[in-house]
Amino acid sequence: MSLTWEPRIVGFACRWCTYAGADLAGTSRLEYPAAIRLIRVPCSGRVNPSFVLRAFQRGADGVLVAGCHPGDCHYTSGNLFTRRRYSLVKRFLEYLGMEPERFRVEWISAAEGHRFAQVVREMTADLRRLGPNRKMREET
Amino acid sequence: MNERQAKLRSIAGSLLAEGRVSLFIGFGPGLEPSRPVPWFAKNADEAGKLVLDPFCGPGLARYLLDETAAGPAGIVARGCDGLGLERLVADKRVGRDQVYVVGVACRGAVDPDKARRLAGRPVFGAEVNGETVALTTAGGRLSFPRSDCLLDRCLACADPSPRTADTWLEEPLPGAQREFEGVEALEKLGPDDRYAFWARHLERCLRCHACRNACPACNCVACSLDNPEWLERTTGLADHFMFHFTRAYHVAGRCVACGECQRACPVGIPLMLLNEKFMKDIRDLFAVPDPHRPQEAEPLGHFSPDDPEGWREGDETL
Amino acid sequence: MKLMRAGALPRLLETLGRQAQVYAPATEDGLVLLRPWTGQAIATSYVNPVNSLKGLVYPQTEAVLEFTGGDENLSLREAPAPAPQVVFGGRPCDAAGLALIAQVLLEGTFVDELFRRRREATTVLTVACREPGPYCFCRAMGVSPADERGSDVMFYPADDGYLVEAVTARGEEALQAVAGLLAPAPDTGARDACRELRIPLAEKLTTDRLAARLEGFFEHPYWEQVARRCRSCGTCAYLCPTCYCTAIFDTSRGTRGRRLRGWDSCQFKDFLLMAGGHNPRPAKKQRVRNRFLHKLSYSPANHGAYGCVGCGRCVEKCPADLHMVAVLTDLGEVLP
Repeated sequence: MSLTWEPRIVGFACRWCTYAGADLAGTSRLEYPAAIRLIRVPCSGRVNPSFVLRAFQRGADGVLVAGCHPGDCHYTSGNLFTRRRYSLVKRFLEYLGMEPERFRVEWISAAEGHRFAQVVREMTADLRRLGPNRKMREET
Repeated sequence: MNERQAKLRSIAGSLLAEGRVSLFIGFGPGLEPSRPVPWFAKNADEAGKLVLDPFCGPGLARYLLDETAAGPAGIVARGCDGLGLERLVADKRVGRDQVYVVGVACRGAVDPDKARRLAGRPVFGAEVNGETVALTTAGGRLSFPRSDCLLDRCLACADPSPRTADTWLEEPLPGAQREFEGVEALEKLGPDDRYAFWARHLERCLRCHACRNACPACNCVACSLDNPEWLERTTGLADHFMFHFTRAYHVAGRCVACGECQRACPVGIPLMLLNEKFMKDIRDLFAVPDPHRPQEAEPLGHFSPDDPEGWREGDETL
Repeated sequence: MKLMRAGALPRLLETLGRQAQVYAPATEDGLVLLRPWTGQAIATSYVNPVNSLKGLVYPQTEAVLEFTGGDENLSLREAPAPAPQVVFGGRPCDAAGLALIAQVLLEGTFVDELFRRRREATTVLTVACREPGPYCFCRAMGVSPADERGSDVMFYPADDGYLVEAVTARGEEALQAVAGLLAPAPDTGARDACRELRIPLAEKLTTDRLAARLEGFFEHPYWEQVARRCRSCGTCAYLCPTCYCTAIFDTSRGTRGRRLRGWDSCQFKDFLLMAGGHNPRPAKKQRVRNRFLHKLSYSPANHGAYGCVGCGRCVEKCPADLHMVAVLTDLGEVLP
């Protein structure tokens, strides 16, 4: 571990909305912390809950799952399954002992570059306060 | 002496003799009276050894996966076995017409280890009478509170009888509402204490797969937990978290709360507290009154346009 | 023969712990387990810890080697040598189980280096039995409640402490390090009591000439019938102090990785699955039969002893009650 620890966030971003929103944040020259590593997925419904736990286990201090707003899914209903699924998984992770701030689900459209930057800023600030995640982590 | 048992033997014997089933699944004599074993009667003779008493503990439903391959099987079903069968039928792993269900009214199974500990000696018989359990020992009959004697899974039971049966051994008992007190107590702790609780329990996991292999909902032909891409064979705490997170999530909305996973666990991991967390949230978020009973629409197999965002609202306890 | 007062036990472990990692029985959520000892209360009233000695000498997973790099600059490194350890509180059956595993892994044409290293780094302080558990049947398998096989030091529970006796040179050495805690023993009563302890369940089982009687029993319909209740989990094998089957697998992260060896169980349906898809034991009948014939027939034929020490763990914990005592009882009726 380096002496100056910086939080690491793994973000699963739907390619139709959030990924484009992140692009917009970039082309709009918005500033947000470099803590997030985006993984582009076809739909937020693609994100298996095991991906989230695995990200935490292999070093993420926070995980973000983000996709189109309900009603706007490119595939009509993918994000509505996401909503149901992560309503449960979010609570379950916390039940296992994860701090609520470490895992977020957000709807961020292709037009919401500001929202994307704001979420990353908020998460990074929360994680700085919490420090590195040690829970459920793999031993290295 | 035991009328229920005699009646069961005769029903099973006739089913086998008439060729209506090729096998009857129930309980038979074990090492000691307090430990009857899963029993597979193929003829009237073997049906004549069926046991039905308050020590009949192990869940039976999952055996239907193997035993209906060769022809219809009969089964003596408590509520938990009945829900397990419903699960297998809903998952299209067992045909309902391949099973002949003899329904019983179960008042809870006595945990042989708890009974021996309480009595301090071998226990030969038990009788569940309302809130007390009478244990028969060489030194006479001893009475204990029901809550000290029964299997954990029976203490939380809301389903004494199956919802349907092909014949009833006795008048079925009505189902009740499941409560989630254990989950609620754990939710009241802070994140670090909750983590310490689970780390302590999961650290003991042997990865013997007794929980998965006991489960009527874990009926997949190939299990992702056997696939090293999803879960490596290493056995550190992180791997155990992945195993139990995945197992619990895969049965979320499908678990029938039979509690057989927890009964089977050799190292005492409170697995039902994982399954029940999903049940409780499914009940509260998606207005499913009895999430452990197989539904028309699987809670995680559909959605509603006005579903809540469970990560934002309504979770005051966390 | 020496006498040690019960109150001196923490001092003994503390002294031995200066040179080695100490394990001792601890109570956790109502279970007694062998755990790293850091001064916590030492459990005394237990039949057998849930985890046997096996796991400490033959871990559930251990590194065979470590590797870094890729195709071009691959470097391999042997797994680091195990640190010395002292295990207090295992039972004679478990220690005899270690001796059985040692017979298989150290005394054949192939010597298992991983096991050898850890076995030699381990000092086994065994506590003999004064009381049989409900599922103990050691005597039926040729093991006694005061069995010395596999142990370095025997602790025989006495009224106010332990009668202590070194069995091996390593045990002598350990006792010399704690000589100040030991007094001359007045008599050998505690040891004799353990040696003479009756094991009621064992008396109900017949294992005479079992190997001979099992000949020709391979295709008996008994196996199919008894296997029906098996759930093909690994509870029996993973709790068993003598089961030693393992599999080899690799795990890697980026350019670093390890080759590991980990327990496997012949009851898992994929245990013998070949790369080409063939499974020599696809049915429960075949797998269950293998478990019991291995312990009751092949092991005596190959190693001169039953592959079971009668610890009773499978009896207590098998979720379907398909265990050694059940099978031995059935065989008593089914066999000629």
